[in-house]
Formats: sequence, C-alpha cells, structure tokens
Amino acid sequence: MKNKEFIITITIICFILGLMFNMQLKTVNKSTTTATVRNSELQAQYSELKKAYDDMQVTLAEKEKILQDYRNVETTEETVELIKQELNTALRDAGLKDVRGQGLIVTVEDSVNEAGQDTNLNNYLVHDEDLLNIVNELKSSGAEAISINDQRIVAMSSIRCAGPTILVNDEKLAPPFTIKAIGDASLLESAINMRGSYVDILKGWGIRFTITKENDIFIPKYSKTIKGKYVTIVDENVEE
Amino acid sequence: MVFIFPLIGLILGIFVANFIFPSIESYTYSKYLAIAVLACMDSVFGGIAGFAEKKFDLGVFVSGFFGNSLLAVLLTYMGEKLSLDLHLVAVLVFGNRMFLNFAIIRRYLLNKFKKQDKIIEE
Repeated sequence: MKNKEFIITITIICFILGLMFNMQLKTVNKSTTTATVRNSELQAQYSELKKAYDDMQVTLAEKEKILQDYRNVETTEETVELIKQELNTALRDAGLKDVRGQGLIVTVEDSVNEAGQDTNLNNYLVHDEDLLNIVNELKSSGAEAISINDQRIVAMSSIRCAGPTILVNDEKLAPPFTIKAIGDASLLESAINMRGSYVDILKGWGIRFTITKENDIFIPKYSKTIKGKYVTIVDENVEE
Repeated sequence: MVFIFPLIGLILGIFVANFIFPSIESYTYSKYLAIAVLACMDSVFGGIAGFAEKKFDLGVFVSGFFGNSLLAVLLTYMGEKLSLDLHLVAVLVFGNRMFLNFAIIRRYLLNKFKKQDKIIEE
C-alpha cells in the first residue's frame, strides 16, 4: 500500500518537474542574449527608444496639424508651388534636407607620435573642443552645410566629450572623424590650412589631418527632431 | 524496477510541456521557476530517500513539496524587493539536502545490490 502511494506521488512530482524543467529551459534559451546584456544598458536603450518614440508621436501630431491646415486653405497650383519652394529653402537652411555640392573633406585622427614619459597623453588625442573649433572655423569661412561622420551640424547641434568617444547630436562617434563641409572649396581649404589656425596648432601635436577638395560632396540631413517645446514664434507684423 | 514510473513521468512531463507551452518569452519569472524546479528536485530526492529509509509519509511529502516551493519563491521575491540575493538561501539548502538525500539513496542501493549489511547498520 505504502509502496504504491509512494510511486504514484513520485511519478506525479517527476511529471511536474519535467514540465517545469522544460519551461525553464525554453525561457533561458530564448533569453540568453538579453541575459548577457547588462540591465542598466538595456534600460538606457529602452529609454532612448522611448524618447525616440515620443518624439515621433509629437512630429506626427505636428505634421497632421500642418496637413489639416493645408487642406483648409483654398489652394491653387501657384500658391502650392510657392509654398513648396519656400518650405524647401527653409528646410535646406535648417539642415533638414540632404544636400550636395562642392566643398572640403577633413579627416581628423589621433596622433601616432610617441608620447614622452612626462607629457600629457591628452594632447595627442582628438577632443570635442578640437572638432568644435574646426567646425567653427569652417562656419566662419562660409560653409553652408557641415557634417561630422554623417551627423549633420545644425544650429542646435552639440559637440561634447563622452569618455573615449565624442557626442555629436547626442550620437557617439569615434575617431577617425570625417568632417564634410559644403562651400567655396578653396576658401575653406585656405582657412583650414592658414598659418596659426587651430588645425595648424593641432598638427604640431601630431594629430593627423587629411584635407581634400571635392567637387561633389553629399551631406545627409539632420536625423533628429527639433522639438518646439518652449519656443513660440513671434509674429513680426503684430506690434507688441 | 520501481523507478521506471517516475522516469516515465519525467519524460512525459518534458514532452507535454512542448504542447502546453510552445513558447515562453517572459524572462521576469524565470528566476522563480528555476527555484521551483530546484524545490521539486529536492522533493523527489527527499521522497526517494524517505522511501529508502522506510519513513515515507504522503502528508509530509506533499506538504513539503508545496510548502518548500512556496517558501523558496517567497524568499526569491523578498530578495528582489530587498535587493539581497535571498534566493541563494533556497539554492544552498536545497542543494545541500539533495546531496544528503542522495547519500542515503546511494547507501540504500548499494546495500540492496551487494546484499551485505556492512554499509547500513540496522
């Protein structure tokens, strides 16, 4: 009697064990990839995606509103064409359109010079401020569109330090940095190569530059959204 | 040959799981399930050891199975809330007991097959 009881219960328990074991095995097999990624990293990725999603939602709402406005306005071919032209110019200037044209490509790489024992290693690396200064120099010499590693530099772009990488438009970039600038190619080149210019100083530390003039440079549009959360447009015609 | 039925149960369980749960993707509860698996294994070993020692009792066995599983899951849950790895307590206790029970089973089997009463004093 006792024997029978034992066998039945053990068999049932074994059945449950097999069930759970297989379930667990499947779960673990499915999630080995996620298990190896650190939690915090996933969290960061999640919040990034969430933010991107929210941004998209906002843009969608905006675009829908604009579309609605267009539909409400009585449209003729002419006005549509005019609005289109104006819009394109505005988008081009804001950096929201892919553009191409003649210009300069500057590639910046860390120094290969041997650092002395008592020198600061930081002097041999490309820093955020270096890129910032080069971009500034290009801007001041009439560049019309600039990108770093295909990150379009727009009015509200940021360039800052993030450990071994540099954040441009909040995207992590690593050397070599390719700075593309559309503008008067020879003017840009001479500005960059000017004696005593920022690039000239950096060359002294062995930072490697390759500067090439190109007839046709492609610069992609700004890939992020600019949120108009706090700004409102002031109507110029209305006296305050 | 008594143990052929539990073995069949185990294999059946593994197969049936394929049909009931074709795919499980939630990773959140896998920790609890793992602890439950451990509790289950502990119960199996405990039951067999109890049988070997002729002390097997259904009430003790079943209550132990459910009680231990629940307590282990509760510990894991608390550990998660308190950010202390409390599930290790269950892992340690179950692991330890499994080895102890296995030792009893070993002695029982050796005793049975060798027909020598040198291993267990009765």
